This record gives sequence, C-alpha cells and structure tokens, in this order.
Amino acid sequence: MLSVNYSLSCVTFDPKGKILQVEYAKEAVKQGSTSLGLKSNDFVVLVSLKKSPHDLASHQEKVFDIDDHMGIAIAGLTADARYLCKFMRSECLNYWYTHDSHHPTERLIGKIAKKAQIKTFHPAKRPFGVGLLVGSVDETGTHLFESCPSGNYYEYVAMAIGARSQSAKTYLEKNFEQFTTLSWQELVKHGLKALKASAQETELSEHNVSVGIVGKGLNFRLLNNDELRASIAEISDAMDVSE
Amino acid sequence: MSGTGFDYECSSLSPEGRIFQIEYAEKAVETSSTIVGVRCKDGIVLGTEKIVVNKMMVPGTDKRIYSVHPSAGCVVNGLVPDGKSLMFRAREEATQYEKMFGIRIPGNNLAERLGMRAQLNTVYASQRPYGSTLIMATHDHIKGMGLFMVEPSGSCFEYYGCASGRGKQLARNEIEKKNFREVSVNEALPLIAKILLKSQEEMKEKKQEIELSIMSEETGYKHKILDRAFVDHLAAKAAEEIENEQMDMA
Amino acid sequence: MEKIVSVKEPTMHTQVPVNIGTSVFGLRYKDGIMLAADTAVSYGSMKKSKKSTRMASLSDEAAIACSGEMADFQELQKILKEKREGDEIENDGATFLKPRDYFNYPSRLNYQRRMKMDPLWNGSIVGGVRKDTGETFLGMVDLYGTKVEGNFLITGLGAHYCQVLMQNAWRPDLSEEEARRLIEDCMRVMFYRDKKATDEIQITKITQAGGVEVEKSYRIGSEWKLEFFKNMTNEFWRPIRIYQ
Repeated sequence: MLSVNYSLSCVTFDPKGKILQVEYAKEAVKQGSTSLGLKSNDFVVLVSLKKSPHDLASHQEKVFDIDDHMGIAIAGLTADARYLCKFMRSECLNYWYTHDSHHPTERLIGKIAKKAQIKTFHPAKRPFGVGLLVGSVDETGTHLFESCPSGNYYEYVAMAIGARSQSAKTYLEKNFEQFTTLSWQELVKHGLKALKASAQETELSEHNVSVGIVGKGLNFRLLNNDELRASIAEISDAMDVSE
Repeated sequence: MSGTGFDYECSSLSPEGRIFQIEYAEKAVETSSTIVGVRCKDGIVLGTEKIVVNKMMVPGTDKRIYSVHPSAGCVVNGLVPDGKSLMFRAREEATQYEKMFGIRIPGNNLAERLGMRAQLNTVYASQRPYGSTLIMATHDHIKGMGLFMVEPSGSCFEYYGCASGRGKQLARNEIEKKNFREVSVNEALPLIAKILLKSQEEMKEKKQEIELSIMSEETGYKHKILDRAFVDHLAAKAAEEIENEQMDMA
Repeated sequence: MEKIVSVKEPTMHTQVPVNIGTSVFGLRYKDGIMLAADTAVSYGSMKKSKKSTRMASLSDEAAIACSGEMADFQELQKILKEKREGDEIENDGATFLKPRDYFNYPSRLNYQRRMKMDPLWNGSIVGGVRKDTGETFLGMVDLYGTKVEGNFLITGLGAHYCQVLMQNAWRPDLSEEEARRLIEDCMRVMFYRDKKATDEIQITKITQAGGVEVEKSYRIGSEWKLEFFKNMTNEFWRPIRIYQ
C-alpha cells in the first residue's frame, strides 16, 4: 500500500493531514486490556483487567500509585507506562519538596502531554504507545483525566480505554449521571460491572482485576485481595438476580 | 492529490514549486475547529468552537485558548498538541525577553519570533511543520494592542480580523460584513458566538461547545478567558437566534 | 622544563551582604497578619536610602517582608513574581500557590543556594490569609533555608531585643490598633538601639476580606530629651573614664 511511505516516521504528514505514526500509537492503546475510571464528588476509582502472558506467570500490574493523592491506570505498552509513571512520581515528589503541597492534577497532565507531543515531533522518536487514566484529588476537587499518545488530554466523569472498551463505555454512559454522590464502595461496584461488560468470557477474579481508590481524606491505595474478592462476589450475585 | 514522491519531507520542493508537507499540515488545520480573532473598538476577542466527542467529558475540558503572559493570549486549532507546543515556545520567548530587557515583549516581536520558529520547521527533512494555526492577541506599552495569526507555513501577519479552520470562509465573510472596529467587545461577544456556531453548521447534530476570551480596556488589557457559565449562556442564546433566522428564511 | 602549576584561589561567592535592611516583624492578630519593616537601607554604617520599601505583595493573599541583602530581596521578588504569573496564566480553575507555597519555595531556594556556598543573604517573613478558608499563615525563612512558623516572628537584631516584648504583649485576639501599637513599640526600641534602623516604618496588613494592603510609610515619634541621654555626654563620662 502506498500509505507505507507516509507511515514510517512521525515527521511526515499524509495527504489528509494526519500523522500515521500517531494513529498507530492509538491502535497500540486499543491492544491493551481494558482500564476504566469513574468519579463522584468525593472519590475516584480506577479499575483494570490484568493479563498474564503464561499460566505460570503472574498478572501484569496495570494500576500504579503515583502519590498520596493520585494514581494511574494504563492500557497499551506497559514499558512506556512505567516510564511515564516514574516521571510522574518524581514530579510529584519534587513539587512536594519545593511547595510543601500536592502537585495540581491538570498541571501534571500538561507535563505528560508536553512529553508526548515531543515524541510526535522528532524523526528519531516514536509516540508513546500507551493511554493513561489519571485519578486524583486536589484543591479543585476530584479529577479523572485521560492522556493520549497524541499529546491530547481530556477530563471525564467516567471513561474506559483499551481492548473492547466500547462495552464498558456503554455501561458507563448509561450510568454516569448518578455517580456524583456515590461512596467509593458504590463506585467500585459500578466499575466492576463496567469491566465485566468488557471482559466477556474472562471470569473476573481477585487475580486478574486491580482496583485503585482515592478520595478526599483518603490516600490512594489498591484494594487488597479480600476486598476484591468480596466486591466481585457482590456484583456477580447482583447480576445473577437481575438475569 | 499526492505529490508522487515529492511529498514525503518538507526539504524537497515539487517541480511546480510546492512544498507538499506544508500543504498537508494546512489540511490538518482546514479540517479542524474554526478559530477567530477580531479586533474591536476597545479590545480584542478570541474564540473557538469544538465538538464534544463524548458526553462523559467534563464541560470545558480540552482547552484551546491559553494565556501566553498576563497581557497576551492565543487560540489554536489543528493538531492541538502542536499548537500548545508553539504556545509554550511563546511563553518561553516572553519570559526570556522580559528577563533580558525588563519590559513585556512587544506583540509584533513575539509574533515574528513564533513565525520564524514555525518557518524553521518547514526547512529540514528531519522536522515537520506545526500542524496548527495560532491566533494571538497581545498588548504592550509600545505598540498597544495587536492581533496576529501564525500559520503552519510560518507566515505571520497582523490582522483586524482573522479566521482559520473548517469554517474559515464563512467566518471571514461574516467578520468582513460587520464593521467590528466600531463595536465594543461586550457587543461583539454574542455576534462572535453566533459566527462560531454557524461555521460548524454541518456538525450541528453533535454536542458543541465554544470558548471565548477577551482583552479590552475593561480588563485592563489583561487577557481574560471567559468563564464556562457565561460562555454557555452566550452559546445557548446564539443557537436560539440562528434557529429563529432559519425559521424566518423557511 | 619545570612544570608550571597554576595555583588557583578557591571560587569565592558572597562573603558579606552589602546593602542591608535591618529587622522585620510579623505577627498574627484578630483579623489576619501584619508585617512591618522600617524603610532604611544601610551601606555599612551609612544610610544609603531612608525611603526604601522592604516588603512586597506576592499574590492577593500573601506578602513578604525582607531583611538582609536588598539585591537578593529584589532577585527573590523577581523569581516569585515569575512564579505567580506562571501560576495565574495556567487558567486551570484555581490559583494553586497558597501562602504556604510562597513560604516553602524561598526556603528550598535558600537551602539550595547555601549548599552551593552562594547564599541569598536574607531573613524573610512570609504572611498570608487564604481567601477561601480564612486560614492564616506566618513563617520565617533565613539564609540557611531554616523554616520557622509562629504567632510572632522577628528577624535580625530585633529578635534579640524585642522577643520578650512581643512574648509579653502578644495575644491571639489583638485588635488592629493594639497590633499596630505593639509593632510601633518594638520599632521604637529598635530605633533607639539599632544603628541601622530608622524611625520611619511601613506596615502590610493581610486580611481575608481586604486581601493584601501595603500601606504608606510613616514616622513613629521618638523621645531623646531624657536625663539618661543628657548624661551620656563626654562631660559626664570623662572624669569617670580617666580618674576611675
């Protein structure tokens, strides 16, 4: 195909004005398993479906702790995500050291976006192959941001990214208006239900699901196995009844 | 039309003397949001429209109007991250100039520097043009107010009114029709909101959002991005007016 | 041939401050924070300027007052102004630099500079009242980067002379008038004893309602016609000195 000639480098526009390398990077995000996030006025919850490369291997972690007030869920190339994760952690620490307060969320997302843009602007670089969902609490309330390989970022009430995320998105679109006043336990339930919609045949268990929560007066943490097992059991019971 | 081999990098001209990579970058601009800048009697208005692609988005996210320094602001379209990177460049230039000379950078200097920057990206095989147009409103104590537009090709001019993006032609006609130089900023705002909404006519079944900012005598020549509630109110009114007009026509 | 070894002096930075402002004061009172400084800048023992402002507003809820090297103060002001403008033009729904940030940042800056053996030679007091919560903040940073927070703070020579005065007179419910009188008392004490002080002082008030108000400077009266001072003449002391 002719478009091969336009697609090899991110310093070439194709005749439609698109940068194909960036488009392909977005595809890489869609290859990763589903991650989703949702927020109420006081809490943000991040939920991920983890994959294991082999029966004998552990599952690849997809929700990361950035700071007391912030965490991320990823979809796409995990190696790129770890690099960005490390960057975000050190930025948060630096901000804490110089200002004695938490890093404002949107500014940090702006820094990531700037990094991502540079990767689309240089002949010897490739765009990041990862999408991030950043959940955080700061002076202006709770936030859920999505950051793209293109360097764009958007703020959402609820969002899903990764493979087959459309089903999760549909679930969230149906329900996001009632999220505003929910507790984090309720949010986790909605998150798991949305994830179940995307997971299809895959059975949710405490081994292949990660849930991160953060809120006002609640530091970011991952739910432990017991909590996960309980929550998953709860939603599968509820679903059985509704069916 | 593709340039059959002459269009892969911007360091080569085609036999007709065109640089296809720049044209492709302009293509990215032409298919994106309309942005306008209008010089009024007592100030400048910048504006843009955008499609809200997902209803779960928080209102006002995906910003395209930024402040460069307290009395300069810009709006970008096309590949927004590219435009943002050009805006960051403008911020750097502004702080560097102020550190060096102790005064705010004059608007024409700032715009020219951005134009040079954009031009430089159209010269080498190892770079690509910025895929976005930037309209900038500035104020300084030497030249007063100024409205500039920097394009992917690196061309940079001062305007009384300018537009770029998918509704460029329509917006430009509308701006030419109304003599904005005799209209105050506050009177111009609803008109510009209307122009912006009209310019995305074919997309109107989708949810749309506009962004506006002003710099006028009233704001002390500070660039002020108007708050969400006020802009939404303006947009709702403008949409209503457009509908009435269409009813009259029919 | 004999090898020539160049003997280089070690790199030297600021060893002493040059244009010096003397003690500054800060205290909490009923409505907010009050900062005070006199208006003199000394060059050695000479008063280089008797009409300098040694305080500045940092945002609409924080202000700083500075003693020590005035060039470094101006540099610090420039750095903080750039920071504030950078913060404001972000337009992300809120200005994030709170009074505490304007305090912590100079302390980290001072610490970094002193570790480079090139300190910013200042003792500064940062005060602020948050507009949204009304929470007050008062902190002091020295040239080593030490942070001190308190209800009344004094830098420089004033810390030696006026600490007890403040300790005895300060209450959390001081009215504005009482706070002003307390500061004037301290300033008068300093004027009598500190050769680098003058009797012209300037006050900055920070309140939740009014924001930062940097007032015009004014003179506090002083009384020199005391017996004690009359006796401090050479005629009084000479016989004692010589014939003791």
